[in-house]
Amino acid sequence: MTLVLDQVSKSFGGLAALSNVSFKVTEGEIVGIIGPNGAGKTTLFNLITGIFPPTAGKITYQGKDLLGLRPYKVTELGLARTFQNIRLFGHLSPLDNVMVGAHCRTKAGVWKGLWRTPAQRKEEKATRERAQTLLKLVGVEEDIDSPASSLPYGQQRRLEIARALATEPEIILLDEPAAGMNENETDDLRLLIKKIQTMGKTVVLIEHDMNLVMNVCDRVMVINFGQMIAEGTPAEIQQNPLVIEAYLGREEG
Amino acid sequence: MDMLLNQYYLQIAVFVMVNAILGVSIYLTLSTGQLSLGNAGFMSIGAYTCAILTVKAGFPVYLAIPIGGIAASLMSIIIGFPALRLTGIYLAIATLGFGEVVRVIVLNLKITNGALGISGIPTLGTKISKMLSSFGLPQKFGGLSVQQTSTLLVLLILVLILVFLVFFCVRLNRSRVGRAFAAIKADESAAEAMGINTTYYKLLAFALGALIAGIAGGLSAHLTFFIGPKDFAYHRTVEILLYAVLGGSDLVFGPIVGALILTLLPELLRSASNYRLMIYGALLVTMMAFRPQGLISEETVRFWKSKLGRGSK
Amino acid sequence: MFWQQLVNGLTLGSTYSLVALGYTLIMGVLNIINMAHGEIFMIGAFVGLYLVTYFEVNIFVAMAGAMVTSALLGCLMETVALRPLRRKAVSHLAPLISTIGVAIFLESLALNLFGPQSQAFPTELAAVQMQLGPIRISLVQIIILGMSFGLMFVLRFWLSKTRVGKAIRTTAENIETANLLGINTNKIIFLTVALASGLGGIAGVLVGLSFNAVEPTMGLSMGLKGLAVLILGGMGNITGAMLGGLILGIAEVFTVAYGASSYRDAVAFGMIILILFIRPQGLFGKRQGGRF
Repeated sequence: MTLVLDQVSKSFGGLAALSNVSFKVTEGEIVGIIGPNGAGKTTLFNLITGIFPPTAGKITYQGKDLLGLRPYKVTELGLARTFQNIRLFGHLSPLDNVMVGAHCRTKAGVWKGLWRTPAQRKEEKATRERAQTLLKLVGVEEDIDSPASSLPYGQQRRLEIARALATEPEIILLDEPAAGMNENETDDLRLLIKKIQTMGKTVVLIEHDMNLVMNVCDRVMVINFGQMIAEGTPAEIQQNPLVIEAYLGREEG
Repeated sequence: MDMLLNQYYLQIAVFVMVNAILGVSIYLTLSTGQLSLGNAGFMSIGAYTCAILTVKAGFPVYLAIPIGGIAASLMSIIIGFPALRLTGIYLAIATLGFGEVVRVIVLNLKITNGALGISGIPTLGTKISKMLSSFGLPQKFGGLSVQQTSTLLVLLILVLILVFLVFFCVRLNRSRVGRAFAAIKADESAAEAMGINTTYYKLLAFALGALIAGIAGGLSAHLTFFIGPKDFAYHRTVEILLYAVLGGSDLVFGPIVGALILTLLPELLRSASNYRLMIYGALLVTMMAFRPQGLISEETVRFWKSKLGRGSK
Repeated sequence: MFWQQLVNGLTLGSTYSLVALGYTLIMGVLNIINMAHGEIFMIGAFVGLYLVTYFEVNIFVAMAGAMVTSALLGCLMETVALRPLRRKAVSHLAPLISTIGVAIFLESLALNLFGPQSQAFPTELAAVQMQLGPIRISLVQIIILGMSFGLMFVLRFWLSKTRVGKAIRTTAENIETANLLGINTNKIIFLTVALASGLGGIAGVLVGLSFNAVEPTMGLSMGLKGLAVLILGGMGNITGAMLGGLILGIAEVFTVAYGASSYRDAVAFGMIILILFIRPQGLFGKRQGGRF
């Protein structure tokens, strides 16, 4: 059990965004989180990564309490994320974006950077090479020196994944990585997620693309109106009457 | 030769250099997307610390100037720590208030000599010319008077400091710390989520900016013989801010160019000196509306590079 | 002695509250700090002064004149310096810098028009004094207290009860929602800036009366006090601005009364730093959910 959420609730100004959500993530699995828009999925990621604290409940990672830790500390511990609305450092190059991701695993400070000490140059070289490897892995290989904001949409999503991987996470949280992608791109994404799993990482995936979720996930959780309404293998979820109701109900309304 | 090297031109060149150093100071703070309105305050801490050390305690200038810078930097950490945990607006207000308080304190303390200011500060120029004559330099050396030679040497020192600062900034930009700065400027919360301790780096950039402002203050105290509270009023801060707004704050060269233009322009337009601040104000508004990135931005550099056919490398 | 100082503090503080309300209103609706608010206040003071000295109008007419001028100036600023920035995605520092430009422009303009020297209101007003038990209070103080508190109550009532007031509050809450609800947000922004600046203009006359001095640099020092109150009371919090202003006024008067008169202007800043350390959301602000 690496990541454990215990009875986690969050409300904004009296409105409950999440109530009593509990789940566990096991090492090496791919977990999908699905649910209608506004169900509280992204709020869940924000709670885990320390962007805001839960109103109640406990979040632990490898037995360590994550409550009250600032986001960068959470990332240092080994949880990295991507954002639903892409948040790259737009005017930096893709390469620099990924190198920023390596920040918490590198050390050189102002002094070493100023004099380019041998240790700094070695670290910089290793960081760059690793960043290039990651860019290759996610398939962003052209234009790696022009601003990231000029990349096509699908590439930007992939670049975010590379940036998150550069923090050397054990768990990577992907927030709707397939949003805005076409079928081919989504298929590539599926392979990429599988590849990340084979690198020994755990993946938590928020996604609306049911095809992707059902194909890639080992386990799926369904959230509706801030509550977890179902959990199981993709096959079980597809049969679950509560889930069908949540989705059909939404389409009627 | 004498025409070009007359004392007036040399003096202006010296001011250009000091202002360019101040431009670097605001550039550093802005490189994390933070606006400091306390640069004049930090300058005055540097200037007063330095002047008091040399005039009243007999410290050598080369020691007093860095000490002044460090004093300003320490002060910036005290101000910056609480303000930088919050969003950018708080730093602007806290530093604006800080600048005013420094002014009030300087006006009231005995050691700063109140509104009268400190005079009789040994200038770098006189120090150097004394040194030169003690080496037995003749009154005319290569067609230059001792005064000219010493001002030229002062200018050389300032150029060296500026070159070092530019070197520092360029190196910094291409390092881990510089990337962290750029990431914070682009998107603070995303940077934090990528494992960057944003408070630490914002404070670092702010303290470096204050350090350089303090050093510039110390230098200016030893260039003008006299300092008073009026030298470091809010308008000075606005002027420094304008270097970055006009020149651009993407690259370290932006504020330096801004400082150059805004130091030379008032000299050329002496007749309009009453309207200088009005022009500055209008310039700030116009730049924000039409070219918020300033004259020199990353795109400008990219554009000219490709135009000059060096775009590939 | 104590009660006398308290009344003096309240008088001073109520003007701070008025100035801070201007910042707060604009902060609430536009989410920016109007660095030119102090200078708009200063122009209001000059307009009031010139109306009284050259046109010999009644002080209340002068205040009305100051209010109208300042409100128009605010609208002009919104059109020239703020609206162009809203159309494009610029850094959050851009409006701050733009209003600094307006501030420096106005201050320099005043310096050229009115000269650097401090000018005074005709003295008849300050001469009238009354004795209320242990307290000596001047007519000027009564006018200031009456106007400030009166305006604050009218404003509160207007914001909470009228249709336009509610529209302002909705816009402050969330500008997109307000748009969806069919509120003409551009009009509301105009109205808010005019209101804030108008209040600033009146405050300018009141402060000019109470110190019996009007000068171009009064904008900067008063602006700083207003900003201190903004942080003290909690950004965008109207009650906070009112009470924060009173607290600052009383604190300053007592600082002077108990000996440290030359450090009066440092009190505001000391409060900013203290608040940032111990209660960054302000005395009356609610704690935000997170830093983002």
